Amino acid sequence: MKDLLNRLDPLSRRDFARYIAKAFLGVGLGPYAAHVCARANDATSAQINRGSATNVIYLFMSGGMSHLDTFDPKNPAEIRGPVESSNTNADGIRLSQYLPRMARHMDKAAVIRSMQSNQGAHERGRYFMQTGYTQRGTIRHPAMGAWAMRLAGKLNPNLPGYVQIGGDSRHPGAGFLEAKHAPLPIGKPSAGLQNSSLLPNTSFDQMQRRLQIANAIDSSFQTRYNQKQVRAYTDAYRDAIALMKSDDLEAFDLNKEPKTIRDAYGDQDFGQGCLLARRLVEHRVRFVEVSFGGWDTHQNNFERTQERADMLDQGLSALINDLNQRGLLAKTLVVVATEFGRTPKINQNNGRDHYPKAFSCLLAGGGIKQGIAYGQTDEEGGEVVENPVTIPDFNATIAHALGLPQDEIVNSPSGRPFTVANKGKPVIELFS
Amino acid sequence: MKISPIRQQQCLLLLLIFVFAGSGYANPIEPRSKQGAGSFKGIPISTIRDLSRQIDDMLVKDCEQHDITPNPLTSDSAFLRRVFLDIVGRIPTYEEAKTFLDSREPAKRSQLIDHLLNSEGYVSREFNYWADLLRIQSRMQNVPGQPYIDWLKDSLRENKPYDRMVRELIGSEGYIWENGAAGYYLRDAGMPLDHMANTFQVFLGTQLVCAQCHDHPFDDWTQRAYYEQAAFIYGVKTADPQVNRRFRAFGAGQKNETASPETMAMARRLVRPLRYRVNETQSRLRLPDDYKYNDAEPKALVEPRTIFGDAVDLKNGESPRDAYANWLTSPNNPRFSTVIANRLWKRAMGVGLIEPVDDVKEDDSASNAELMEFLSKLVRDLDFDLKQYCRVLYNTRAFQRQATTGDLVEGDTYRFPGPTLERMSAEHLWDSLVGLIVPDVDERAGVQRPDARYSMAKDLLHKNPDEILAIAEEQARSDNTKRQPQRRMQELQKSIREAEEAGDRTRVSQLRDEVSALRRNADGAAGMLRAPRNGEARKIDRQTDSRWKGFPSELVRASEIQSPAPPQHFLRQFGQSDRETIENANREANVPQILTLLNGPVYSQLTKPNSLFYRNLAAAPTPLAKLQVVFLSILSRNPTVSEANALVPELESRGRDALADISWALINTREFAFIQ
Repeated sequence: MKDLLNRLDPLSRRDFARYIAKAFLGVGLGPYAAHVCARANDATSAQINRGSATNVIYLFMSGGMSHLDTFDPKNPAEIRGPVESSNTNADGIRLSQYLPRMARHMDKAAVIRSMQSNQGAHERGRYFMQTGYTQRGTIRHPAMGAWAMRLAGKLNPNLPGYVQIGGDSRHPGAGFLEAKHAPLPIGKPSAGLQNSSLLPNTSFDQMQRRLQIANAIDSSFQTRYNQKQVRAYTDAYRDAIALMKSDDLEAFDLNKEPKTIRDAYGDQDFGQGCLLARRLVEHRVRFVEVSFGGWDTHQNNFERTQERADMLDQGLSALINDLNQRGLLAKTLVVVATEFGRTPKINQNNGRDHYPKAFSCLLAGGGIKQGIAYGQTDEEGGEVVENPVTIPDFNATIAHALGLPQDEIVNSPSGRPFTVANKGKPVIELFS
Repeated sequence: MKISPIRQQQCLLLLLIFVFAGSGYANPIEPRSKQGAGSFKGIPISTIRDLSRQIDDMLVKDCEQHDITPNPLTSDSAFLRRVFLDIVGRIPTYEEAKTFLDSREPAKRSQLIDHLLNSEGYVSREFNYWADLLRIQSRMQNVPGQPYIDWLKDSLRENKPYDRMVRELIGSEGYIWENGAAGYYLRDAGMPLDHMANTFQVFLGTQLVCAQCHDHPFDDWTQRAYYEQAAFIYGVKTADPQVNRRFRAFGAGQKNETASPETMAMARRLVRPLRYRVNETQSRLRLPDDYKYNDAEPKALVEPRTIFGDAVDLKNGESPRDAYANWLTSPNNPRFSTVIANRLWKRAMGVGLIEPVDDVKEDDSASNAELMEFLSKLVRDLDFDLKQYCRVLYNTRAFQRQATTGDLVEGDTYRFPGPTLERMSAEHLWDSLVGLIVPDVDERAGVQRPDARYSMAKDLLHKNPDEILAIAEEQARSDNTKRQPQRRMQELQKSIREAEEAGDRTRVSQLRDEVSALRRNADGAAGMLRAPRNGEARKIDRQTDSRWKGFPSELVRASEIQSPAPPQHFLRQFGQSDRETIENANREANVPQILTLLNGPVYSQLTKPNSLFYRNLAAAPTPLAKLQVVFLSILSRNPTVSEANALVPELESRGRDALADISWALINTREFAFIQ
């Protein structure tokens, strides 16, 4: 099948995939067809049979998003500060007034208001959320996208399976897994994948010739230093050249989107990152992460959270709406995560401090129930009083949506056994 | 972890025995007062070599005990490349490489080390290191961080003793535009507890952060002890309430009936640097509302008390943070010197004697305790002169051995048969490539102009709100005039792109002419907010000097670019720290890096006739000489005989095309990207 697909030109290749999807499975659009194709290529993905998501768009609110001013608004004036809440189109769910657009799309998402962490510092909190493991000096654990790559593999052989947009420089990445499972980082979404076309007046043949010279000169070095970090570069060269030759390269180009769509997502990096994520998922990239910083609001919480929340609101609601209209939402799990929440108590700088004890995350698509709130905090938003969800549970829920085998043991190079989501329990009640 | 008095005495006793038994050394080093700052007049090279030899003896003994053969010494070219990258942060230029390799001087390695340690490149490289540790950013949450950056560079340039530098940071006071060190507190504004955790991690290699919310699960720290430690600096505030009160009219969201929104926005911008001033108040820390242990009540006032080591008795009227700064940097606090000795050892050798370097559990947990003790004491005996300390490390045979070839095995203790192989850091790679193109690159300053608000600040501080509004109005008007050409420029550039896409050459050239005209005018009409200060004249000269005519202004060393570089920049692609958390850089491979090395803009710069690389090639008379220029410039070594045999005929038959192919190929080798 792979050969057959390769022989078709890019357009008819996609048409063919759509045709398969419609004819055999009764679903509307591409990703599932892609899933079928990938299965033909990769025996291990035959184990995917439990969840309905094939792809994940993981939006990370870096710095600690205040749950109180976004997804879990509270009444007492000394806690809510100047922020009002309002009804949404999902029965009984109120969101902060900072998220007016999401209020109109809440019927497609599930908010989890009972998240709990035990890590109150940024780097450690982030690491815990992204990997499901607490940070240790002796090992680096893989991020969820790397787990998905390791356990389910790529969907599109020509593109990276895991892309990370606008992230921080110390992302756990592939952790102890091989470098090929690491995310491809994109700094600025509107700039796309820089330097992906050949130098002016250079042909592929010429580049190959140059690479031969390089390899001839470098062979003694590479033989002498046969180390993992050196081989990782050799692998990256192979991947980069394959990517340059691929027709799917246009997946990274936001200029291919009509202006109305680009505007709908908002012109900031986060909104454009969400749009790029959608394009990549359309091109069968398995896991796309978009980082969005600036949530560490120790000072002027309300001003700064409002500013952030407005961008989140626009990007997230446009993304959910767009995926839904394209028939991609059923197969794409959208995740909104953060390292911790913020204190109900407003501090002397009109800010809120770190609060891992209770916070909110959001899931949409990929078989997640629509228009529900799961878990609850008390009246002040300070204690979880119903259905607590730990971070390993949350990651297990993502793994479940993707159908990743959660009991499959993956050994680190030193022989230590690990599993995706660190023995968390998926929240089955969240699935429809 | 906490050293009990009895254990302290034991330690002291051991130390004394150690010194008198002769395994240490009698301090042969002159006190600093007799030395010239920033140079090596005080310590003769023979003393340095003697110290280096003692380190080597300890390592060889340790290797013997563990049946490990130390690696052979490096070739001159491998040493040259490594020592340039380690000390000045870039590969040597063709000239520098040739001079060193051709020299027959037996002491040329030591001489090169001294030369590099006293060069401006040293400041640039050290800046990158400290900016990662201190998380220095050009844009801090409240005020621009440039004065902090300048303060750090000045401190490194004058080789300020490390203990003094740390005391200046911890004791900093005033506005950042008066005292750049104030950036240390402004960086963590509003987060006194995190600030204390960061200080401990950087200077004492100790992880306290868990104890911020509860007793530490693995170490002995209690939450209360953490609060007691943080109480030393809790009184330090970064905002000035008096100034804030005075300029309340310009607060966020405030409107004014007579002033336009632009004027109000400008007024807010102008007074911003006045609102943030580091000052020590009487404010006192309390335990958290939800404090859950039995030894104290929630919200109880906390007395400052050190979490380990000597107790600090606050004298009447003594500033708590000064007392704490003295405690932290005291020679009696061995953790302070051990941590920096270990960090710099790791920087030179690739692995720390204690790992991880910022989670030191026990002072005696080093893989080679004798050596760690020696190095820690060396830092103290050198009066915290880190340049001299590094000079000792670089003169060891250990540093000058070949890199270890195999992978390090997780869980095994590294016995330092030589340094480890490492990929160049993002800054190494960028600075090396820029150094191929731009001559005297270490001297060239960046394009950031000083924030004119800082030069106006002193004056504005004495104005009343009405006067400030008047200045703001004038400023907003001049800014607007200044922006008009900028807007026009953006329009023109957009039109040029469109015309280029449409293939309309006449229109492109017309538009280009208009751009040039606009540029000429704009230079004359620079607005007030861009005017340089007198004190900045040196920097501006470093930027516009004729040596760099025709080179794009962004081709400067990483330390001269905004910190951190923008997310899509080469530096970030190759893993530069975002300077959000401590030492946040990485050296992992990824596809965008490779695309940059395959197809990036470096090649068009490299082949311009004014590039250093091109000029050296042009001056080389024969194909073999040209090949030598390419190899020495990029790999810091001469081509081998077989390489020359294979490549010279290429150059003879295909000339410049072959040169382009070979230079491209060398940049795309692992030998280029890794430091062996």
